[in-house]
Amino acid sequence: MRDLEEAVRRSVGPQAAGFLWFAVFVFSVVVLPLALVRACGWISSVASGQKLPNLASGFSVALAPLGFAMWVAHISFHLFSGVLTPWPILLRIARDLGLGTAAPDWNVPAPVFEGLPGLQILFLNAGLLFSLWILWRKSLALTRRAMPVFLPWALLAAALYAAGIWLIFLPIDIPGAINPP
Amino acid sequence: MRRGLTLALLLAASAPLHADGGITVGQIERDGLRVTVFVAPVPVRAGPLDVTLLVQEIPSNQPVTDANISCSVQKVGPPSPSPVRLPAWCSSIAPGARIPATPAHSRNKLLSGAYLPLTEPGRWELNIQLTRGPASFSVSLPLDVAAPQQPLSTWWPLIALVPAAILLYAWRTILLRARRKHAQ
Repeated sequence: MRDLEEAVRRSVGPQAAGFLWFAVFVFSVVVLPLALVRACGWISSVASGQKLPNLASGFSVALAPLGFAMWVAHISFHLFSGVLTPWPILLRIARDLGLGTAAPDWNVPAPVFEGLPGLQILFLNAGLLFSLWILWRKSLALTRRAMPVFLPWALLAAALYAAGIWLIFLPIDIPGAINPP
Repeated sequence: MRRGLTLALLLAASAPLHADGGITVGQIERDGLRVTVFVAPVPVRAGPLDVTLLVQEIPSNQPVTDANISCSVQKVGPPSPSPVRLPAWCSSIAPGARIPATPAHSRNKLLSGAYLPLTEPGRWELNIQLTRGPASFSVSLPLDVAAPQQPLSTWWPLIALVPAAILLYAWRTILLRARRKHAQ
């Protein structure tokens, strides 16, 4: 990703690259989700052979547990990696206020254990299963032929889950840092 | 409408913001300078180590960008039986080699940085040497280096829990339907 970003910056210049990435951002955050939700709603209606009202808004809410699980998986990394960082900050504040003389040791351990990606995957599993269950119940409530209604939404949820798993294994850069060598 | 357009133009003109990673491993105050040392990844793992430094004047906290900084890493613990294979761009740097930390490493030109090779897990030492005018000093910071992150293939049993749970749910539904039919 960094290589791609750098290549785009070199080929079109920093200003045009800014606009280009803004367009990519708007597309992936606004246009793509809206298009996918509309497409799932349409496929559900066509596949079930019924005119189903307001499918997109009702069914997209069912993806909220998966979204929440993604947030929990992300925050768990920061919780474990940064849980001890307030201590040197407190020591520094105390020293600046003249309340103590202890020099803060910034080399605090980051208690990120080896199994953390596993815990993050379990959070995503729970979110996906909960979302799938809600989608299935909603499909059953609409029609007896629930599977064609359910399937597009289940695939969308599975794709989001796969993206979440992929993100867990991506490296995180220092803010504002790093150009690839 | 105009406000929205202004906001969109401001966002479009902004540099991309990266995710929030890295950790502070040391803050040294010496010869009128404060050096804050960040490293990534968190936890520090065998492989390329990204070291970024912020140098400030004391007490003004003004950032210093004209200091000569170099970094190196040295294994201090016993050799590990499991050395790692470094990416090609990092494998030519020998552990112990002194690498200049430059602003070119970073988008944020107030920071200087360098990549250093951590060839195996264990106890390492990060050495930083700084020269600016009459001020010249070096510091060492300990680093506990974990084994490289296990690949996705390690975690497949957890991912397989999802289809297993779906199959169990489907089986339960089929059993319940069969029981209902049988009762009728």
